Amino acid sequence: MTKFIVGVLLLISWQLNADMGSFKSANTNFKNLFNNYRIGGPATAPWVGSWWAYKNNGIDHGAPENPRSTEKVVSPSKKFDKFHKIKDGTTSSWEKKNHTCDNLKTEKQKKSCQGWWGHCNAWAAAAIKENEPRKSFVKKGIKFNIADQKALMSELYMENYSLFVGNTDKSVETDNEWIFDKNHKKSKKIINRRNYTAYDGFWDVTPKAFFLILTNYLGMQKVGVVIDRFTGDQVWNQPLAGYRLLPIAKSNIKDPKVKNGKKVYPVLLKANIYWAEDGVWEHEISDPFNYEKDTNDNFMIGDFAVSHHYKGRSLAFYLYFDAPVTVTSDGKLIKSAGRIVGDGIWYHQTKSGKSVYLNNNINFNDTHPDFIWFPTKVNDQSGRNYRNPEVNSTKVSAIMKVGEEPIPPPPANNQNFSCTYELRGFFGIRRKVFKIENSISYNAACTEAAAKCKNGIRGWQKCRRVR
Amino acid sequence: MFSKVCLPLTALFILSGCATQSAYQESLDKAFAELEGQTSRSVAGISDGIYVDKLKNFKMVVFPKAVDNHMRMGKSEYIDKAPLSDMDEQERDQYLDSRTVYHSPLTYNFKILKKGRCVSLVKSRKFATHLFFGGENFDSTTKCIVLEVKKEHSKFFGKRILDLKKDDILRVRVYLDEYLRPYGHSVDYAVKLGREPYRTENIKTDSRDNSSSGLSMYPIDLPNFKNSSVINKGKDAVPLPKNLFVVFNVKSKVKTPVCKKATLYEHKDILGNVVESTWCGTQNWPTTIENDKFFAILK
Repeated sequence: MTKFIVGVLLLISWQLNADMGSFKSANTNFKNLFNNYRIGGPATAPWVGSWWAYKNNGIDHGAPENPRSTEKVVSPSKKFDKFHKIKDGTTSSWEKKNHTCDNLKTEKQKKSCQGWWGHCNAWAAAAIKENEPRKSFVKKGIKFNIADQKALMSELYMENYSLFVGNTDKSVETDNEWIFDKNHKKSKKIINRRNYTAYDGFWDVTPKAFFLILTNYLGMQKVGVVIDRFTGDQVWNQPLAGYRLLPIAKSNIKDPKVKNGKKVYPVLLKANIYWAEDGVWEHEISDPFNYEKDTNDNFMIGDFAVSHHYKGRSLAFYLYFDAPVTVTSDGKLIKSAGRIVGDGIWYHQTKSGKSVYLNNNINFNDTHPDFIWFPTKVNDQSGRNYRNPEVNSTKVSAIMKVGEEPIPPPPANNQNFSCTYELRGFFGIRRKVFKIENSISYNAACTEAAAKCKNGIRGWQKCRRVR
Repeated sequence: MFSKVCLPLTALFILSGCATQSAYQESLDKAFAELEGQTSRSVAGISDGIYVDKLKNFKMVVFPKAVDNHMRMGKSEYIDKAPLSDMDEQERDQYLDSRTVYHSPLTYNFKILKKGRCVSLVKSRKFATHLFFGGENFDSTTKCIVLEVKKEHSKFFGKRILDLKKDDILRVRVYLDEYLRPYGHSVDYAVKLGREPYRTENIKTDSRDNSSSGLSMYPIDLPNFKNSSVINKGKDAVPLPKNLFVVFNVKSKVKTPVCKKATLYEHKDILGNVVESTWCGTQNWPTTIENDKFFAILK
């Protein structure tokens, strides 16, 4: 039983197996990152899926293809047993015995388990690392439908290597008293050997780390990362499908603070992040999601829905710089900026931010990511029983292709979007033409063309888009 | 179905006005502290730089950590027969307990490919130093090194076992100056199973911006001292983990005498990762490096 509880608790504090790396940030140049990677996302959007809840016995749950149907369906784990001729149906019985809520003793655990315990971490990793199953197939006379395939992939990723940032403690329930009071009894609880407290754990990931991971990983490398979007005591792993750093309004560039003759320049930044959902029917196939076309620069405090399959959240945070930040009139490009100093602070941690959130009835559990991680690869050597011991890469590969990086979809009809800007001088005389082609969107082409044009402005000259 | 209630607020909020309460002030103070430190921060144990000329080839033994309790393997996974035979039951139990916390040690070889004044390496094509040091403003006295780092492969009857898969890392070359500031790294990846032809990727980095030494793909990484802050400093004996398995292996595998009074540093990099390093007086590379993922010691 103890083993089981430990196993289940992994879900709430698992750190995945020991890959030796942490997130690294090759580029910390704010101007460069903002101007080049203001909008970003993984090359292939992560797919939606079920979190294979423990209340339904994990992947020992057969879901009919028609949600209204009440017919009994063979579960993915039973099909796996049958395919591999596993004696006594061990995969299925293990799942029923371990990935379940039935054996829990305390009411608190039972309640949590009924609510949110499941394979969300594994699904999130699979949704980033694997191509989405979109068709049923029959192998050795067994039909593997979309739900079966997604279930087996999810189970496989219950053990994986990862990069990780953020301390977390899931034993203290979030309430507004302690998260804002460093000296509160609950805040002082030590959560790791470096004497990090529950308070520290709640308020990291820092805005600086958040900014650098978004821009360096999703922006530059175009890979997906997973966030725990529930800031407090639960874990809701969601694979990020994209982000947008919103244009910087001049009013958000604050006056410098001075101390001992040194100046620090605070800037309030706003961002939207987007993720794939796991509260969907097991058989659903993801709607298309393009992080450039399907998102916008509106700031909607709190969470919002982009579609049934993708949701988003607006966040704001201060970063501090060692030199002034200046931006173009539309706030989409940085003209000059110093280096980022300090960790920054989440807007909702400041006095004014807190009141904005409270006035809008936004729960502080729905704010900054509690931790961020990047699955690197499946770990078949972990030796622990967190994943169903019958499931491994070899056995899953015998059924379907796994371990191949997702293939980015080709641009629609191989079409290129073209946008032209002209630099005009006195009497509208054309001086220069900037024509940019982009395979993703017209907006992206125009943003780039406009930026190039604006850089060339001298004196009275003006930029104009050619229609 | 348990799904969170979304708040479809469409109103655009104009966020304005800095707060003046303690959390905000604290974060500002941190920024000031970092700003102050930018001019006065010294590189760990090497505030005047390492002695590049004295740096020779060396090895490090690394103990990767099984990150948390729940990641440890069962005791039965480890049967290190040699040490167990001399132990009584209690010791054996303690040893097996400690064994589950760390993975088996790995050895990494560090080879000095090139060292000298940076200005002389700016144009040199040997080891492609021009790609990494080129375009930098070095003064005439600053020295630079090119270090090649390789994982030691196990041997069977004296023959190296190459258990390589496609895209495994064969070796990494890092380009550093005497303050161990990274200018880039070059990585050789295997292109075939079990054989050693390779493809090379060169990555030039801004020494001010990069958070690591360029060895982040191996469990022997150092922070970029230039942009990580010192959060603790002191002098003490080299701290070995209180772990029987590590202690036993250090005793049997490490030849370098561990000094009694070392300089201990705790650094925090720009993403909040904490790294502890200790420096013995005469050594030009940390005697030990420890973070959440590994413990490494000079062999």
